[in-house]
Amino acid sequence: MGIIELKNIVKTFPSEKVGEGVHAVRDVSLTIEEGDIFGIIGYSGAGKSTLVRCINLLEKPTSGEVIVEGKNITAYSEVELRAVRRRMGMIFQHFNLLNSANVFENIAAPLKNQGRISGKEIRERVEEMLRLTGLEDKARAYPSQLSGGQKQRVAIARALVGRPRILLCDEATSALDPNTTTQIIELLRSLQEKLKLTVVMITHQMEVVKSICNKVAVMEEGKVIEEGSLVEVFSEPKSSITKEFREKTLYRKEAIALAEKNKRNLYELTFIGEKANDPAIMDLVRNYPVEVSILFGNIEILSGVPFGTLTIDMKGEGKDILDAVAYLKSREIKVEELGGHKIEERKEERREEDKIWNG
Amino acid sequence: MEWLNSMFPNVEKLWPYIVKSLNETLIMVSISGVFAAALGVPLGIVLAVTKKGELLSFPPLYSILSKIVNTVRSIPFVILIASIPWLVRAIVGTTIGMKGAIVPLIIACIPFMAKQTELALQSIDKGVIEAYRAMGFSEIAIIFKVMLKEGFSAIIQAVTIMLVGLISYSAVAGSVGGGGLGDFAIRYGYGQNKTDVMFLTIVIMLVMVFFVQWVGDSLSKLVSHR
Repeated sequence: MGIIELKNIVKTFPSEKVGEGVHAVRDVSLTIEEGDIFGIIGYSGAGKSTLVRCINLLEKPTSGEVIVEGKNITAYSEVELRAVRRRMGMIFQHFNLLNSANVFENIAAPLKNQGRISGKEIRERVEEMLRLTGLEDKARAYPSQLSGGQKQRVAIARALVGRPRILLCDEATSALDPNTTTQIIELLRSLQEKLKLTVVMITHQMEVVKSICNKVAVMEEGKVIEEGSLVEVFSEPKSSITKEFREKTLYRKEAIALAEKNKRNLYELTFIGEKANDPAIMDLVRNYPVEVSILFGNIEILSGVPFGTLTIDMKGEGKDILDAVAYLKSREIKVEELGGHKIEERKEERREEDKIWNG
Repeated sequence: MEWLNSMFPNVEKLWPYIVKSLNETLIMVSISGVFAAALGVPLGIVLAVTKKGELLSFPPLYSILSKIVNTVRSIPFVILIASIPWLVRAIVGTTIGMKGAIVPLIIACIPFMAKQTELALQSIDKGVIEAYRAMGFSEIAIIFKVMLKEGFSAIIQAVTIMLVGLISYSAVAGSVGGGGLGDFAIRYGYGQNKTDVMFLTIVIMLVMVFFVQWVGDSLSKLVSHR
């Protein structure tokens, strides 16, 4: 059983303009296991921010159940929910710090609010968080004196000072530049390990999901349309956002344009896991009378699994090319044809050739 | 001194009255300022949090309160003074002098203070409030530890603007028997056509306004940390 379970969550906002209201989340069920770094990705307006707010019930689902650490919290009273929320940290795109309080006070706020924690303990725990987030020298600074990355560090320290088991991140890196994004991601990853956190990350940045998450759900129009481990989702992209991501990182558009221009047939090969280390292309060239030229190649590590793609151009007899493709497939390499000459046409040619041979 | 005396021929003779009037104005402004802030700020908080979609959203209460506030705000001060002698008498027992002026001053300033406080609290980033809800803060804790803390600088500014307005209102109150610098300026400066007295009164009022504004701006800057 997961640490967070969402069962058939529906959230509809009443609207005066639209008769039936705005359907932000439509029947979403997800299970997030302890220790996961679970990415929820989608374009803006896909309902992911509403969905993450259903986890700590900042938004009450119209229907459905939220089960956290085995307890159904959907029907909890506001007072009971406060206790649940103290066990969940949350960070935001715009940091949401108190501008009128310094870094130390900002981080101490959740502890002070709990009462019954001594001043000495508060100081120790805030200092521990300052150390973990690399802000030791900024304790007395005010947010206006900090950079975006530093502000997000303060927000992370504030979210974790109460020692929650779950951290919710709502577009936590979307307001940061790429360098700072990488630093914050690294920080989140190390904190997740040290503090044994379960992290839920809402983002529209595929790079973020790719670099930190082990599981991902893709949302579109309030629904989860793809879900699984990072490798599963990227090897079989179904939604426009994952496909688009693949096209971007694999230069696929450029490859197709090239194929069409030169009336060539290009193949995109996908190697996953150990396959990425196989000398498949070398074996191919050795055993089949085809010429192979490599146009683009890329290898990514998705949650520790090598994920390679290669765009190649094959020259040779139609029959030989078909055999070569079959051979690659037999080695569990995904082969996809990009533009140019289609395999169907090749089959026609092959039949022609067979006739001649047999004739 | 000779030179000053020739520039302001009437000032020396009227000096005791000037001091007395200044005193009255200061007393009127400070007493009404304290009461208007003490009553207006909480009213503003109630307005800010009961508005639809806000922390303690309660539209019926918001609607009633904001209508009262807007109504009182839209009555010109001179007419307000003239229209509530019964209320003033019920509260302080008289309608004349400083005592009689302070009640209408407070009544005129509460709605202004409430509206300004509402605006100050409304301009606080909703994301910050949401972050504190996500941390398990109660609504009351959010009002005091988040909204008032973040809005403090803006509320100080609102009090400053109110005090400047009060100085000017107090002069109007003076003209209908409330005493103070306004009364003095009308009686001697205007009534007896003593230009030097009028001029001096204006200077004193300007100094008061600038001083209040300066103190307010400095305090507000001190707590804002922006």
